[in-house]
Amino acid sequence: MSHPLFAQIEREMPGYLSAAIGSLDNSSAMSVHAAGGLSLDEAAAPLVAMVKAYTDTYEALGGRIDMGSNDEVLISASKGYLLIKVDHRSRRFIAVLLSSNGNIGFLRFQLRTWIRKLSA
Amino acid sequence: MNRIDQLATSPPNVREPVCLYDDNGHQVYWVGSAEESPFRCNAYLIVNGDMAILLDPGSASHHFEQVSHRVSCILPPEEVTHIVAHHQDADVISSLPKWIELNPELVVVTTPRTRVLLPYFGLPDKVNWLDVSPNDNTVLELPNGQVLAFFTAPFLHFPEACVTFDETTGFLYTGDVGAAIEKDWQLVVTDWDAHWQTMVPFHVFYMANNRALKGFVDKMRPFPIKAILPQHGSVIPEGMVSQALDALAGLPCGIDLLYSDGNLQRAAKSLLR
Repeated sequence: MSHPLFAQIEREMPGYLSAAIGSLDNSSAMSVHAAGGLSLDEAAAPLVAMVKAYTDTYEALGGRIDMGSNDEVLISASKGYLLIKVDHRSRRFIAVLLSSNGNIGFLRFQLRTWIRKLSA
Repeated sequence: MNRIDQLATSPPNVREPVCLYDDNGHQVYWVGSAEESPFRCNAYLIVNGDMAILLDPGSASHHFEQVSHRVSCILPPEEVTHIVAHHQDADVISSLPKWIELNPELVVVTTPRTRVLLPYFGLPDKVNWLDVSPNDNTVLELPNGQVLAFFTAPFLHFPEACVTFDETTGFLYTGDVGAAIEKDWQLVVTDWDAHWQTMVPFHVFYMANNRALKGFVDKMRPFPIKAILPQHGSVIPEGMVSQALDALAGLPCGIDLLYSDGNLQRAAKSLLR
């Protein structure tokens, strides 16, 4: 199943490898796209579990101290990044896998726009 | 509303703060100095709700009096909540102790390597810091839900210099990148070719090399930049942003020129043989 945002993500993001749009409440509802070889499809179940764990951790902490609004989940490796942004209202998320020659700062900027589109 | 194009055709009175943007409760002012020196200081004030962010407020000796007076035309200077230091040169940020004296609770936004050097201007023991990460993931969330995003600009000219991108306005505050040394100064550039002539000497002497400039331009070019606002020189309006980025990305500077016969390249090649 393809989401219209994927074409835009692939077009606008140098170093793009793969993207996923998923739901914290329904792990089978994840939509995945890949530019070529490596796809987030191969990690769908643990990806949803990880984002859910992150959200639960944040909410548990946020109830006790003022953490401010949360921003992102980032897995940073020597050859790439996996950056995830969650819309807490709709409980949906976007994950983008980027090679290390990609532009992580611009990805963050675009994810803020894309997550607003997703939740609109 | 972005007023920069309008200010290019109707030059403002720079003896007062100049509004560069005002829309939906988000305002940006130029609050720099109008001294008769080609090395003048552009300080900027961003106001959004109860946050007031002052960028590169200038030196203690030459600029504080003017800049604080201009800020006081907008809001009480003790209500400045954040100061951004894009690097630690004295002409950019030596007024920091005076601003902290006005509001000891303000937050200083800068990179860790700049933070190491700022206390030498004489800071109190307790300062609230927000570190700009070299991972380019530092943001300051504004009351309107938009953010100021901070990015490093390595070796331009300080090893861990940084810049600020205001997502509400598309303004890119660049510290010394895009700066110019001008005798006949105006707030907004109107003639790109003439202005480039005043940018070249500054960049040739201060910036590390073309690789640093090009890497920075490649990183920032995808952003929807509506103006480049350096700490010295003039504001580069949206219509000239692309030309400015192209010109910077192609400029040999610093050690490119110091070692123009390519000693370093030759050494690298011989190592690979």
